[in-house]
Amino acid sequence: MFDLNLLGKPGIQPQVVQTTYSFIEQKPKPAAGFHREEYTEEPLEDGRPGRSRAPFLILLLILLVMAGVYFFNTGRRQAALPAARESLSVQDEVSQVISVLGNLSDKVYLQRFLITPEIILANLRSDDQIELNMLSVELEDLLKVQCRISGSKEFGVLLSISIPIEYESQELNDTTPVKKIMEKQGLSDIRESGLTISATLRNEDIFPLLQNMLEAGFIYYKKCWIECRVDQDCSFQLLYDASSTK
Amino acid sequence: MLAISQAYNAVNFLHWTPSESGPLVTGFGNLTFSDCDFSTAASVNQIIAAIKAKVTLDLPVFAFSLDASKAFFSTTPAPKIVDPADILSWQINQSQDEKFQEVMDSYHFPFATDLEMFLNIHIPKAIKKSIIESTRQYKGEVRFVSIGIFSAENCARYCFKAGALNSYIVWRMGKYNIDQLLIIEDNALQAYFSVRRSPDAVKLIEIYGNKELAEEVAGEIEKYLRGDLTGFSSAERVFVYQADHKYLDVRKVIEAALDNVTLLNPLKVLHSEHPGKINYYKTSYLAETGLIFRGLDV
Repeated sequence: MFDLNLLGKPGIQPQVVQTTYSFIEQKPKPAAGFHREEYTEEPLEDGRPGRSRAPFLILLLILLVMAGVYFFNTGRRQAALPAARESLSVQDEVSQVISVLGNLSDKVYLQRFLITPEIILANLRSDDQIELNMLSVELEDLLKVQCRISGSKEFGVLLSISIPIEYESQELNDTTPVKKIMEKQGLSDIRESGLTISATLRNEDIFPLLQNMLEAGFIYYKKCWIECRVDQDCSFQLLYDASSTK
Repeated sequence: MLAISQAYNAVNFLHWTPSESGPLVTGFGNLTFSDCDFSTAASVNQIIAAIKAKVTLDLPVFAFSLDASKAFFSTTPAPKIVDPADILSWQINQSQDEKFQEVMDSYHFPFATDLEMFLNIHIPKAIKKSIIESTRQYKGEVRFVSIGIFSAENCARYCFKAGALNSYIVWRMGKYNIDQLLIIEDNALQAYFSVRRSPDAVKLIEIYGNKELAEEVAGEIEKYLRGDLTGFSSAERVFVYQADHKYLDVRKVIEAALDNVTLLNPLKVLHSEHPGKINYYKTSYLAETGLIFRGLDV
């Protein structure tokens, strides 16, 4: 078993690592006067053992040559889909996702949320990997969701969620009712062009708005893309595009 | 020598000095901070200063164990037929974030050979830098930086001779009933995983390594919670400790008198200057100072 030491040279580590790194006076030096003894096959004891050995403090310094390969990688955690899962309607699935994501802890930030006729995608960021792990477990319990956790910029951990959905619907020819919902929600900077509406909204408005749009049925139209994306100034840009050919 | 282990918002410490009869513990305890920040030298200075007020440092040699939340974990498959460096290189091309390598150091530790997989641990460079800078200011040196449960594994191996066993498990009982576990077989890492305990069930949260084995161990913990377990069959011995400063959960496990479960606490096997009786349950959080005993025959 390796001795995990994050002071040494990054990269691939050997199976057995017994390495001491010394950081003093800006240059590494061996830990003088210490060595490591061979372990004896004594029975395991819970209590305090006898103390008759010679002075033991000897730590054998082995500076292992570590092949330095500065590679970063992100491992994948592909969610295993439960074999039998209760079948949910598309509306239920979308509703559940909105509900879960609408109640994120303070440590988790929504970065992007996209609903298309084929898939729901969400990117969430957090400094707390455990939070994201728990969130992915929760989502996996609910839905046929694929979660992927990876490291990303600025120390954050990214949870990417994708949920395939299928439904048949007609095209939306008039986006006026959608715009009215946005106005009612208090969104600012609403811009309309053909069958595309964009607006600026606050983080806390995203999921109530999506829930309202869901209840009004404006999510289920052919060629309809709804995307929320965090902007440079940390506000969210909403794009409702009922004419997408993507 | 001073071991400092961070768990949640607490910093635990154990100081020992050489003696004729082995390591002599001259001080231990814990301190709670509103924010356990290790990303600046000033914040690490503050932590060391607070500990120095409690113990006298004979030798300014430090070892740090950080909470797992300070690092990021992932895995990489490493088939024997391919050079692992090539795999990692390929993976970086697939998913590289140009900023990542500027701010993080990535270490790739091998799992047991048959798994053909690496455990990747990514740690912010700022944390390492601040620890090194801070200890220099105390004219000291830092020998090890590790992560909570991996440091506790050192405690099992160096203080309890776990390395002589065919297999063992380190079970870290944590806050909010979220536990972490390591499974070691033939002195090689099989799995690192976390579970959430409820009164009679266990749910796997994250698994790195051997999934089947992790599920088997989780199943045995679930049996224990239901009162149906007499001993763990998935490993020769289980070393258990509680990382927060509570102790009821770990006491319950030990008092269940399972066949092969040991309370993991270095104070059980070390001489101590501490006057009076030591409560080994309450102080089992000191397991995570185990990295300070590396290379020693305690």
